[in-house]
Amino acid sequence: MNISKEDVVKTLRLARLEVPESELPDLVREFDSIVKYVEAVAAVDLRGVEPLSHGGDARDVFRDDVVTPSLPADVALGNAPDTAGGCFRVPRVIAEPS
Amino acid sequence: MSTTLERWEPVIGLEVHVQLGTATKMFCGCRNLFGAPPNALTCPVCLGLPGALPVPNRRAAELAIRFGLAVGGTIAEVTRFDRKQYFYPDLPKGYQISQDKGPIVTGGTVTTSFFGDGKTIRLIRAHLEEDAGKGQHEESGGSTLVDLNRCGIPLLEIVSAPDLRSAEDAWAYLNELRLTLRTLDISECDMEKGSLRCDVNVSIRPRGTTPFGDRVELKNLNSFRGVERAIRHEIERQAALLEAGGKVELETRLWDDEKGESRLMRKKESAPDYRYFPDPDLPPFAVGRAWVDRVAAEAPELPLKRLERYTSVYGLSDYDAKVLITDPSICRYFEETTALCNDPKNAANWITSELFGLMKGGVSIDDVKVRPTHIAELVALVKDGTLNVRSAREVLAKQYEDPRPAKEWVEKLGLVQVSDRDALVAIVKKGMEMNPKAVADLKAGKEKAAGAIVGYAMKETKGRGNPAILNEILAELLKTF
Ligand SMILES: [Zn+2]
Repeated sequence: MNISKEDVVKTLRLARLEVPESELPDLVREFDSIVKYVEAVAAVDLRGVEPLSHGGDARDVFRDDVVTPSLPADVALGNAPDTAGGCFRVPRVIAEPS
Repeated sequence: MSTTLERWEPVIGLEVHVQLGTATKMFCGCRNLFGAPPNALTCPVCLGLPGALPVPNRRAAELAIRFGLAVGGTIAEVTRFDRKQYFYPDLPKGYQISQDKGPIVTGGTVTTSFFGDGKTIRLIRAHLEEDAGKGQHEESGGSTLVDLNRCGIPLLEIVSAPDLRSAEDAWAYLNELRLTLRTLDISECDMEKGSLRCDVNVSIRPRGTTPFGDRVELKNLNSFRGVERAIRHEIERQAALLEAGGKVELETRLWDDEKGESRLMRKKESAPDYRYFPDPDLPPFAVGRAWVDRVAAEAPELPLKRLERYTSVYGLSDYDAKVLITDPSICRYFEETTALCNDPKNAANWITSELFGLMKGGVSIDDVKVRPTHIAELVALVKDGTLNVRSAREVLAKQYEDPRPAKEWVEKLGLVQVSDRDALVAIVKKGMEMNPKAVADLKAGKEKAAGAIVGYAMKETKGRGNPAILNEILAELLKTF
């Protein structure tokens, strides 16, 4: 597959990243080479092989429903660039979540 | 001119999110609690700090399985978690852990036995996920304040098939679903506290046709009645659009219950691209037969089973049984009372007619000072003849304000029933002398006439006469009078 400028712009928008227009051609080329590199895997014949969702052997890992201590609120907020009223203060995002 | 509903058939499906009633969050040991000070219930996992690893809560999975069994759905043999990615400040990881491909429950049905006309609504799926935090837009300054206490609370998302055909259907379905979830202790389902949230998909099609119309998703629904109002409004909106030659757009709209109208939130073209993929931090898990059996064995009784037991074993009327069952806290209160007095019929009576009569203005039975022990004691005191019903009622009214034991109130108010035969004989005799017409009527077979004489005796005993003994004496005296 060939990566287009639109693919890069969409990816940047989804990641909320701002990149100057002048840097886009470089990104298109780099994205393209990464995808091509990974595409080499597609050459392997996988007929009859179950899709794998996880690499490890771990299964059925659970914890009991038992309370463990939470962080004190001031510690939780400790790395935040901005806080107000015990809350993280962040720039407003207009689009609504799911 | 025909009505909108005569021309158009609505097709409605609901997506309901409920917070599971666990002690801790879905993937960390932080408390699952509403109303704590902001950001008091967080840890590296639910803050989404780099390197923190989620471990699923077994109890949350069990409650999901319990739900699946209750609705007759299929429990996945192997299920897994996926990442649903979107950018929003209440979601610190940048993705929500959810289940896309392999939901823990598929299928199942909900039947509106208690709140509707017995219609069966199919479920598509129910899956586990984690809740997001809460953001509040600042009034000035254009910032958002984020509280992550809610972030990571386990959710079950329950998706119905588009089987609902009216706003009333949707209301009945929601109530029925909540009854099941509350009776089974899966979720509190309190919309005000956000432990139940609901989105609605609505489309309409000309009556008598089968293809689905384009659907609109409604969000921001804050009460079951609000859901009903929003659906009614949306049906009218779509019908007006189509009848004016326009078309319904695939879009998401926000309902404003105060204004009674909806506004556009986003068009389909700007629908988010969630880029689901299996969460590499969370291995798949198998739900073996043994686990399912264990969950089934410890699950509380379903509402319909309970109805059957109350009517056939307890001998309650269908109506009384439903009054008790449709509110799980009342039901619990009734069960406790019955366990103490071993008299379900009288327990039900005292609760639904006498106690309810005292509870005013939406008081919850959990906040009432009169407890099951009080009701059970009154039932016993009436049964053993210490109190007549009228006096017991008086005691209950006093206890409602001051819940001291019935025996104390009985003594204080001098309410012990007068069962002393000689004293009562004298009073009944006097009553007969004062009411010759009633006596004549009684002799002529008009049994109602006894009321005048028994009433007199009750007045004389200040309401404490034992009515059974009074009637007995009257019958006896009549033979010789
Ligand atoms: Zn946590």
